[in-house]
Amino acid sequence: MMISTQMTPTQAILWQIGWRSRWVLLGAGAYLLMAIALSHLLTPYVQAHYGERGTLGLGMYLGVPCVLVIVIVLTAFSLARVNAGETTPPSHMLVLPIRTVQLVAVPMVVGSFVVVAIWLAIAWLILQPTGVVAPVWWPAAALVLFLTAFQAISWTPFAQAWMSLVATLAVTAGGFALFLAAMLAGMVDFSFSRDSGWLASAFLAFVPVAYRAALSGMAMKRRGDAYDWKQWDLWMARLAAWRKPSERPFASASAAQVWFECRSIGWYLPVFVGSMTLFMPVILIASWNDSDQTWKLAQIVIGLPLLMATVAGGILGSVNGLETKPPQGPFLFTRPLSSVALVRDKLWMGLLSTAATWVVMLPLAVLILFRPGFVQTVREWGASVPLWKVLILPPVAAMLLFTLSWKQLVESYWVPLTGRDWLVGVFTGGFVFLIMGGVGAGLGLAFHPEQAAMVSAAAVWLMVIAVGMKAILAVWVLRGLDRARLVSRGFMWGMGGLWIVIVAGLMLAALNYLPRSEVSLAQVVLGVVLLIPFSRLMGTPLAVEWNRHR
Amino acid sequence: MNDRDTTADENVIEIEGLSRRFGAKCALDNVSLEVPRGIVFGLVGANGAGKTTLIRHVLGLLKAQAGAVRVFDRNPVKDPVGVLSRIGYLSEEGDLPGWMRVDELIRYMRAFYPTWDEDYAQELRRQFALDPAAKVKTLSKGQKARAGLLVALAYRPELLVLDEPSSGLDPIVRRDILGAIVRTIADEGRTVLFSSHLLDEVEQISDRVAMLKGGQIVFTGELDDIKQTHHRLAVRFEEERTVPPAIDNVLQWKGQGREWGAVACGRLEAVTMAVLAMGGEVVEHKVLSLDEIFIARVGATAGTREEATP
Repeated sequence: MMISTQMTPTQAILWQIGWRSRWVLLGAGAYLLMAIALSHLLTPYVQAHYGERGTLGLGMYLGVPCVLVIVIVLTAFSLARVNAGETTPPSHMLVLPIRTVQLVAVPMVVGSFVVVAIWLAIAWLILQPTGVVAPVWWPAAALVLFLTAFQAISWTPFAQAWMSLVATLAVTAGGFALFLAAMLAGMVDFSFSRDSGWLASAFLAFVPVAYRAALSGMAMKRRGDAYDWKQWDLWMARLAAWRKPSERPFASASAAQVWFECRSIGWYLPVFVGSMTLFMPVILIASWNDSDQTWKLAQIVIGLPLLMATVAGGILGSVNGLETKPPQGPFLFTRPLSSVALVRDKLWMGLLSTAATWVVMLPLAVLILFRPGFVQTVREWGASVPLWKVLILPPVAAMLLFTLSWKQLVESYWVPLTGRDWLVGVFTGGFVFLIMGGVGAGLGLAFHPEQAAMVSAAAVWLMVIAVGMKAILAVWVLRGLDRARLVSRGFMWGMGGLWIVIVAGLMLAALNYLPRSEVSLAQVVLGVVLLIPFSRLMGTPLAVEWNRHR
Repeated sequence: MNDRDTTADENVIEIEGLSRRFGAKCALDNVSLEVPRGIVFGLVGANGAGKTTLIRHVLGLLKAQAGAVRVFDRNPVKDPVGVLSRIGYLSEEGDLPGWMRVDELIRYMRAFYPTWDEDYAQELRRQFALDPAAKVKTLSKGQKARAGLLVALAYRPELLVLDEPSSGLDPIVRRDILGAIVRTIADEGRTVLFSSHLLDEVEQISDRVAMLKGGQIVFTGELDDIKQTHHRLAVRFEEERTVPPAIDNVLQWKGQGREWGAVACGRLEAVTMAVLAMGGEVVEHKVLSLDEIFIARVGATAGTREEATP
C-alpha cells in the first residue's frame, strides 16, 4: 500500500494497528454490520411468527459471536504478536522517535473508544432490537478496564514468562470479584439485565492504574529491562541441579520421539482441561444437596474432554508445538525419521495426552459419584437391567468415551501438519461455520417443528453426498500413499479392513441401542460411516510429506 | 551394495540442472554441482544468492522443481531417512527446541543415530562449556551454535552440512566451529559442505568453492586453482585513455589516463599478451584473495567493466 502523504506519529501507530490485523478486523467489522442488518431485518418477521421467544433466540444467536469480535479488537489494540518471531509490541515500534506516553496512550485511548463503540453497537443495534435486555454502561466500562489491563500486561516485560499469565488471571479474578461484590450489594444480577453506574465507575476507577502500569512496562521494555524474580530462578536452578537427567538412553528412536512430542505439546490438553475445571469442585461442594446439578455436572465432566480434544487437535497436530520462535518443524524434519513414523509417534502422544486428560477429570468424577442421589440412581438402573449389562456396560462406555476423545483429538492432526496457515484458516473458518450453521439449523427447527420431516430427509441426502465425497477422498489418499510408497499395500488393506470392522461393529451397536422411531436405518449407517475417520488418519503422512518437502 | 562401502573419489552430492522459484523470484537457476567425498566444500555468495535454498534441497526440505539432487546416490525427498541418517546439519537459525535442556537434547538425539559416540558428545559438551542443565532457550546465540554443532558432530556423520555456521557469532565461537570442521575433515573420508559470506573463513578451510550469484553458479572449482587463475594487474598504457580497452577475461577495470588496474581471470600469459596488443604493459601482478575475487565476480557482472573513474 502506498502512503502518499506524511503521517503524524499518532496516525502511524493507528495505521500499524489496523494494517497488522487488517483481515481479522475486516472480518469482525463485516460480521458486526451483518448482525446489525439481520437483527433489524429479521426481528419483525420472527416476532410476528414466533413471538418473544423467537426474537430472544435470534438476539442470542447474533450476539454470542460478538464475543469473538471483541476479542479480535482487544488483541489488535494490544499490538499482540501476529507473526512468528514477533514480539508484543513489535520491536521496531519500541525504537520509534516518540515519547513512551504517546506509544502507550494512543492505542489505549483509541482502543477504549473502539471497544465501547462496539459494545454500544452490540447492545443497542443487535441485542435491543431483538428484545434482549442488556446492560450498557458497566460492560462497556469493564471492557475498557480489560483492554487497558491486557495492554499493560502485554507490554510489561517479565523475565519469567508465566508471570504474565498469573497477572492476567489476577486481573480477571479481580474484575469478577468486583462484579460479585456489586451483585451482593444488589446493584446487578446474574441475568445481566440491570445496568449499574456504580459498577461502571468502579471498573473505570482502575483504568488509571492500568495506564500507569502500561506506561511503566513500556518504558522498561524500551530500555531492555524486565521484571525479574531472581529468587524464582534460583529455585529453578536448584531444582534443575537436583533433577538428574536419565542416564539411560531411549530404547528406540520412536520412544525418543514420543517423549519429545509429550514434552513439547502433549501436556497441553490435560493442563488446559485441568485449568478449566479448577473451580468445579467448589461448585460441586457448594451445591452438594442440589441433586439437579449432579447430572448437569456429570455431563460437563464427560463432555469437556471430548470438546477440548476436538479443539486441541489443531494445536497438538502442529510440528511446531507451542514453539514459534524458532519453529520446531525444520529441526524435526532434518531428523532421520520417516513421515509415517512421525505421525505414528504423534498418535501415541495423542493417546497419552487423552489418558492424562481423563486422569485429570477423575477427582471430579469421584466427587460426582458421592453426591447425594447418584448412587441411588445407579442402583435403580442396576436393578432394572440384567446383571451382564451392569458388568459390561460401564467399562465398555468408559472405553468408548476414551477412544472417542482420542479420535476427536487426532483426526484433525492432518490440518496443522500441512504447515499451511491458509489451510488452517480455511478449516478453522469451516469449523466455526459448521457450528454456527448447526446452531442456526437447530434454531430454525425449533421455530418450525413441522419442517422436521423435510429437514430429516434433506439431512440423509446431505449425508449421502458427504459419504460419496469421503469415498472419493479415500481413493485419492490411498493412491497418494501408494505412489509415495509411504506405507505398504498390505498396511493399507489392513487399515481398510480395520475401518470396516469398526464401522460394522458400531452400526450393529447403534441399531441395537438407538430408538428406531427417532433415527432411520439410513441415518445410522451413513452417520457411522461419516463418524469414523479414514482419509483424515491415513492421509496424515501425506500432509507431513507436503510440509516436509516443499 | 552397502551404501557405506564407497570409494574415495565418488561424489557425495550431485546436483544437476536444479531450478527453484518462490513465486516470481528465481532462487536457483539451472544449478549443477558436484561435491566429492572427503573435502571441505564452501558455498559463497551474497545474502539472497541461493545458498540456503541449495542446502535445503540437499537436506530434502525443498523438492526440486526442475533438475535432480542426489545425496549418497539417493534422492533426499524420496528417502529422507537414508540420507538424513548420514548427515549432520547445523542451521543458520539455530532451530533447536527452546524447552529442552542440553542433556535432554543429547539424550534425544542419541536415539536416532546408531553411530552416536557418547564419549565424544560429552567431550564436546565440556569443550564448548555447555551446562547440561541449561535450557536451550536460555543459551546465548553462540552457545546455541555450539549446542547445534555438538549434536551435528557427535554421531560422526559422513557429511556435515553447515548453513552460515558463523553468521553473527563472535570470533571465539567461530574458532570453535572452524576447529571442529578441521577435526571433522581430519577423520578420513568425511565431507563438509558449508555456506558462508565470511570469505576469509572460507579461504582458510575450503578445498573447493562454488560462488553463487542470483541463483546461478558464477564459478566453481578448487580453491587453489581459483586463486591461481585470478589476478590483480597494474597496467600502464602508452597513451592516455578515457575508457578501458575491451579484453576478454578482464572482470574489472579501474583507473584513468595511462595508469589502470585490472582484475582478470584465466591464464596470466594470455591476459598479458592481450594487454600488450592493446598498447599496454603489465607493470605489477598480485595474487587476489577470495574476498577480492568475490567482489570482482559478484560485485560486477562478468563481462561488464567499470567505467573509468575521474
